[in-house]
Amino acid sequence: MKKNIKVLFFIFTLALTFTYVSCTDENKFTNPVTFGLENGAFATFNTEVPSATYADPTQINFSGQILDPNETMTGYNVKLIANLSGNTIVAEDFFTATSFPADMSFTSQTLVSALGVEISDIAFGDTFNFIATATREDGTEFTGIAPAFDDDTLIVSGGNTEPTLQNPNYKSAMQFDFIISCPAFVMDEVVGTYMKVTDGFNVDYNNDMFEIVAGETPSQFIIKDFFGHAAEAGLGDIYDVVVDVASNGVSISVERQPAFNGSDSNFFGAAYGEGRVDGEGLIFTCLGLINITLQPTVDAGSFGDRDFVLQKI
Amino acid sequence: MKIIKNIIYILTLILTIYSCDNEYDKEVILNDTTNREGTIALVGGDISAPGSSKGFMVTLTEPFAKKAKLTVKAVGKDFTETFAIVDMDAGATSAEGTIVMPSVTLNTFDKIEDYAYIQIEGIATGDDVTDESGETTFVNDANDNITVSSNTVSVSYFQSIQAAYGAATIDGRMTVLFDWFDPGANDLDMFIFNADTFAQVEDSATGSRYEQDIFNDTHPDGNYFIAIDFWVASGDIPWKLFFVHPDQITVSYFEGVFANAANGDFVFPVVNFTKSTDANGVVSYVFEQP
Repeated sequence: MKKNIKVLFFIFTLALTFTYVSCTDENKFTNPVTFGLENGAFATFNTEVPSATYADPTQINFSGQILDPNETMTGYNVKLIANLSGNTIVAEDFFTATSFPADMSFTSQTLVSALGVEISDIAFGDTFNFIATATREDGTEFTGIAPAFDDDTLIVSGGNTEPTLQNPNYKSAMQFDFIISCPAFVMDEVVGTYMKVTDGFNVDYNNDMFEIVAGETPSQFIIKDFFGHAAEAGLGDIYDVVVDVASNGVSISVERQPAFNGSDSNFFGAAYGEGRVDGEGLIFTCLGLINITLQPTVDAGSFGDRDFVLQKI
Repeated sequence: MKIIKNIIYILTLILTIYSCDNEYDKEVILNDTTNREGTIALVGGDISAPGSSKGFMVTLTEPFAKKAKLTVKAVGKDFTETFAIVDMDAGATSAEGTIVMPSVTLNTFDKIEDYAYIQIEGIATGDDVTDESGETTFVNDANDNITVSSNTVSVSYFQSIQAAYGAATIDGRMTVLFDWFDPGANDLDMFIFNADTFAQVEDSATGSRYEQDIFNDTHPDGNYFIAIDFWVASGDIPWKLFFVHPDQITVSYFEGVFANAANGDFVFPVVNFTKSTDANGVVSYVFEQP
């Protein structure tokens, strides 16, 4: 008897489960999000991906293969957007392909030919940004830019390639870029006196000059008293900013750390307490140039991303 | 035993019926949409510059019973986007607006053909609702299911067509910008003369690229011309003149080449123009290259 009840209970549970599942009538789904997902067109590199930096403008060289992992792509078109010495130059149709895998390559010469410039026009700090448009079988185009949405205006902007697809593991060929870096990161070239050419925070003691010294490791340097507390004796603490240099010798980062006294009346006139910064940027030691975006924060919140351009003098 | 079985059968039947109550119909329902084809046309010419305002007119084939807000998008070749929203009154089928063109850093004397394009991006219908405090807000129509698509119009870029004046400074006033090839080697200066009196009324004589001027409304109606002085010059020098009308939308553009230029040359008239004021006090200009 007891055994029969267990069997019946099992059968009942099984029947209930199947009943529940079978009653899911997909034809009545009215929210496309629950059923309308489909593969877009997305291009990836096979094995080789372009380098993030090239130290010699005359030796830019890449050769790789474009894949169609979703097997939906009928067209792949790359636009090259270069910024040479502050001047934006766009080369349409830098690379196109209609069958995949497709071989893709470029050199210094092919780049300058597409842009209509000379190799001598390429300098340290210049950037090359490649943005692809992948066309799906049905003609839908997918641009290698992340979509954006403005909560205030309800305007959708940008492209239609989700930023997660730009994860390095995907080897995305929808958008990639590189920068002309200095030949090497040289600490001796970093150390010295600097001036804030651009001060995106503009909250300090009008101390546009500061020192940079070597850090505790070969890949670390220290910006001494970045916000100039020491310029006004007795006003607040002295905060140094420790900067880490990536292995490519051009990317730099600042871990969140104390950087200014947010309670000092010379800053905001409010008792914000300890001020901190964190951020990322680029360094060109051969030019004595640092471009960095820092986010100043206090306990009350963030002051947003602030751009700084620091030039060695 | 039999009773237990019957209870289980009945319970299963009840739960089956209950589980088949389709809850998915309660999910968010996206309305069917109706697309309207709109038309966009440029106002004031097809040239612009990074960060300059460009005029446009949007037209729909049929009016709406409610007020409509149309979103217009401008996209540069580097994918930089800007947006503008223009109001279209209930019952209307067209509206004019302006959009700030996408920014880009350029260092060129030449015209960049079709650098950006503009199109209608979207539409929302609704009503302006004024609350007790007198504040008016646009309330979207809950049944709005209209989408809109349009043609695209292209805009060619120059590095600059107007100096970076504040909007309040140039509101209702005409501006002039003169550019020429190789300003590093050639130093040209610009003057404006009253053609009726031959009196010099404006001048811009810097030692760097661009000569620019705000032509004040205080100048009397009449005929004027642009004259160029060659402080340092040699060879053939291509030039461009940009006049932005008082509406700050319309641009008159002229170009040419100063042949065999030499230090001390003085060329006039490079461009003639007429200033006139109508009965309502509206100032307008007509430009002509001789």
